Amino acid sequence: MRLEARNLTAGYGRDGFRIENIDLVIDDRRITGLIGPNGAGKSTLLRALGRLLKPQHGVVLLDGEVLHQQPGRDVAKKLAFLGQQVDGVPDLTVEELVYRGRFPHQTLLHRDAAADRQSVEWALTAMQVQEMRSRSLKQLSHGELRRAWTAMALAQRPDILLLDEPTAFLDLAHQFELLDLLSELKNHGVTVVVSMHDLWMTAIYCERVIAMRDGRIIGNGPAEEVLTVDLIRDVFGVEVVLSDLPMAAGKRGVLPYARRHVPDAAATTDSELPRPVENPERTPSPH
Amino acid sequence: MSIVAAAPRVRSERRSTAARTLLAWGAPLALLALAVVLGLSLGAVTLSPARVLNGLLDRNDPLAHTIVWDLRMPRVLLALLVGASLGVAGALLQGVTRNPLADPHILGLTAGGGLAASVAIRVSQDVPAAALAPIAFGGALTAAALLYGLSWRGGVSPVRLALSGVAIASMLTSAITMILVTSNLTTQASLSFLAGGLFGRGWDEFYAVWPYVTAGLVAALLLSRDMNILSLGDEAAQSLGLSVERTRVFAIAAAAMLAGAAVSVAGMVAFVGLLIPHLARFLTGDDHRSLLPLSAILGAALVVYADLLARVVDKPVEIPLGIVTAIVGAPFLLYMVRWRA
Amino acid sequence: MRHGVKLLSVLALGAMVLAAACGGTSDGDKTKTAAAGGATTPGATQSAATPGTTAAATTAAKATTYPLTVTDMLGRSVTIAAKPVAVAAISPTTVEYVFAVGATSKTRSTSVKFPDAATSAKDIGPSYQPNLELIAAEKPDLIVADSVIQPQLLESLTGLGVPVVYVGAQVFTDVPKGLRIIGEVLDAQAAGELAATKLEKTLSNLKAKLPAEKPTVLVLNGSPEDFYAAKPESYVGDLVQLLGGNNVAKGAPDVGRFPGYTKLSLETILTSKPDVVLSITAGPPGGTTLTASLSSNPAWADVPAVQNKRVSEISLVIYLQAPGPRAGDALTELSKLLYP
Repeated sequence: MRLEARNLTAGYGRDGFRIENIDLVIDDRRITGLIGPNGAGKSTLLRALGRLLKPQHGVVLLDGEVLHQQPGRDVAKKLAFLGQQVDGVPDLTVEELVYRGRFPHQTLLHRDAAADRQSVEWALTAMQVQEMRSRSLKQLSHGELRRAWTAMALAQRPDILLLDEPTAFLDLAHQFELLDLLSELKNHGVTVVVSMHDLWMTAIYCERVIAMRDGRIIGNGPAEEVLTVDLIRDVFGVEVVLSDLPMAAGKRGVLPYARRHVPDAAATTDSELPRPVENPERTPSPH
Repeated sequence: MSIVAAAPRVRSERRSTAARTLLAWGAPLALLALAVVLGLSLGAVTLSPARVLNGLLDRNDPLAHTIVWDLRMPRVLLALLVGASLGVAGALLQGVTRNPLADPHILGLTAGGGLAASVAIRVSQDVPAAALAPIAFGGALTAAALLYGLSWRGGVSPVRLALSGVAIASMLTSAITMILVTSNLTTQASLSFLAGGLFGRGWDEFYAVWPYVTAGLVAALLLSRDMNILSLGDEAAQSLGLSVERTRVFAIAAAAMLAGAAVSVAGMVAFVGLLIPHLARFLTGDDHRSLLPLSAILGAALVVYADLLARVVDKPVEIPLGIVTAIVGAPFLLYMVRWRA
Repeated sequence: MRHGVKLLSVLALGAMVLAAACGGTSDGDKTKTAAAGGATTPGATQSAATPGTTAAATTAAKATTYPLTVTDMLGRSVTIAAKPVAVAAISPTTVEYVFAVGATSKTRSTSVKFPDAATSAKDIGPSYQPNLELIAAEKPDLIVADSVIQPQLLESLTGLGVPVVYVGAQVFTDVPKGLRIIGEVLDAQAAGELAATKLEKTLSNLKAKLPAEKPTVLVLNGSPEDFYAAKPESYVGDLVQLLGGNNVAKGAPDVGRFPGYTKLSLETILTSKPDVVLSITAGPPGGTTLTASLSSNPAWADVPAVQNKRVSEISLVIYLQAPGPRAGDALTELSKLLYP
């Protein structure tokens, strides 16, 4: 299942915000992190890749076929998009919500009840919401709600999962749990594209990183190649410290800081800043 | 409903037990059945139950037959159709706009139907019932198209839909008021049904309107699964592969057909479309597969009762049906808003 | 929401006015007495009694043969199988028609007070929404409906499975026509013919005596706050026209809910200098009449009719609610008001 964009321009209205001339290929069976400041175009790109936003120019291809020319349900069986759910909370139980993830697999006359049940149970268990399956969504905390929605997307049984800031509103433990689950899904052959705000989490969990700014891609490649001090400064305007992680071989942590936190930092040049990683190229790339 | 029932339960928080389901469906059905029995039994003329039965079965009692079969039966059936139409139209529109205050009245669909009907009556006093139904449907559909068109900006957001609806409703309602106040006495008499009422409605109107109601109800039921997905929000619905705008167009058209049919026989009956979906949702939750049929049953029961009250409270004078539904419906809605929301 | 409620109230108001106009309220009496005090007493008992007493004397009268097919005043062809014995007249005008040919109606509208015999008939509600069940319960073999105010009920009434004959009184000539139709339908041709001829004779007698000098007339209907002028196309306007009155409202467009009525500006009224003002007050009993309100209004002080105290209150019932067989009394009363 290969998702790619060719010369993709998409956005809102004639003069509104848009992402322009995007060319990319999403690596199969990998977690790709999408980073960038607010307004960089992460959500727009995800929505265009997820068939929610029609390209103004160029195409999105799913297995070589134009995504927007395929029926919505056919796409939804292969590809799930989970947005930030700002539309309000429907009056449903968790289980009812997750069941609705089976919609693309059902038609008016045909449904495979066993497959539906199995997928729903799997999704409930995976997102650890099986205990609250009978609770109303209106009674859930932000984090629980987030997990319930994610379970719904999982119930679609997609090969590609696009998530727009899935860790927002989650406490630290649940952030790790969610990202662990995404890793788990990857190991089961699911391609994951996820927009992230937390560079530390991005560095730990994402094998590929796409960095965006002002609707354009600034960097795209293996995490270690993209998450450099210079690129992050360029994209976010913040400084970071890169550090090897003893507990995760081959991973490198990214620690942001502001200049004012460093004595005399304002006066020093970049090269004079302390750099725990003397030579970033030292770490072998996993790819 | 069936899916939920099959699920293993950790703890039931609401509506999950069989008893609850039975109550959610049984009570409204019993209420409706009682409404029909009372509607056939009571009226300006007092008939014994035996005579009501004789009239129903046409057994050697021509007077009872005329009263029960020719006068009461079509009215009860029409009240049933009108109530079911308005209840389901309201549920569809609340689903489409994801706004609990949406109903065919507030969004201007009934006003569209009413305006078309009043223009037709203004032009020719003897518009037959068979023609009035499609005319009102056309009016409601035009109002719906206007609603959709004015809300369109590369897609239709529920908020814009609701706001445009309110504007369209007040515009069309003013137009009806204008036609009404500038009409002469006889035209006004012909238009008096717009206040909401089934006075003088008979089998002709029933035959004219049932195909539209049936078509609208079937369309609504076919849409119920898509409506469920739509209620998750546009983004989630789209990512589940639902054609969001197409579903909205179909749902609004079905609501317009139902609202138009209701207006053509009963005029502008307020509150049913607003109130009934809330009541149904309270009983069954947000699943349109049960919400829509339950709205039909509850709406039918409400309007049959309301028409009964309209007929007997101040007999031989009839109170406009729309006033009865408003008097009964408004406090109930306030209760739901204040204590259930 | 608010607009819906507003519309409802407008409609409800419309229905109430309708009820008041077509006989839903009980103020009929009051206005009648007011009218009676103002001028000649409408010869109520006279016209009710006449047909009955004289019918027997008229030997030339034909008996109606059934089945009978008549054309009613909506232009419908109605077939009546046998002589009706249970007649349901369902508006003030039609009740008067039925009693005027010596027959009896089993039903009446709520407001009907005339003739006395009619008050014991079954009250079936206001004439704009007569209760169909109550009509059916009287097991009528003929329904007499009003061609002016009840055409919209045609479908509902025919649904009762009883022949329905429509008669009414939009203009004076409708009245003898209606009397003859009802006379024929009820096998009381002599009485119908007699009452009709009497009316026509009343008119020709009055016309023959009219002075050369014709007054300018303004006929008003409504409340002191909101009133309309009757055009010659209205029933009362027609009567005034037949008596030679020059109607101030002639040629104006229809305005307001009553056909044949219009709204005149005060300037129009002042410049047209009506010699006679006739007012029909519609409103709660005991309220200020139009007559009283105009006579004390300084804006009207220069109107000749006000200066010469020729503003008169006339009956709401006879000229508006129940036009019909009492047209003769109405003409007599009007001729005295126009030519004192």
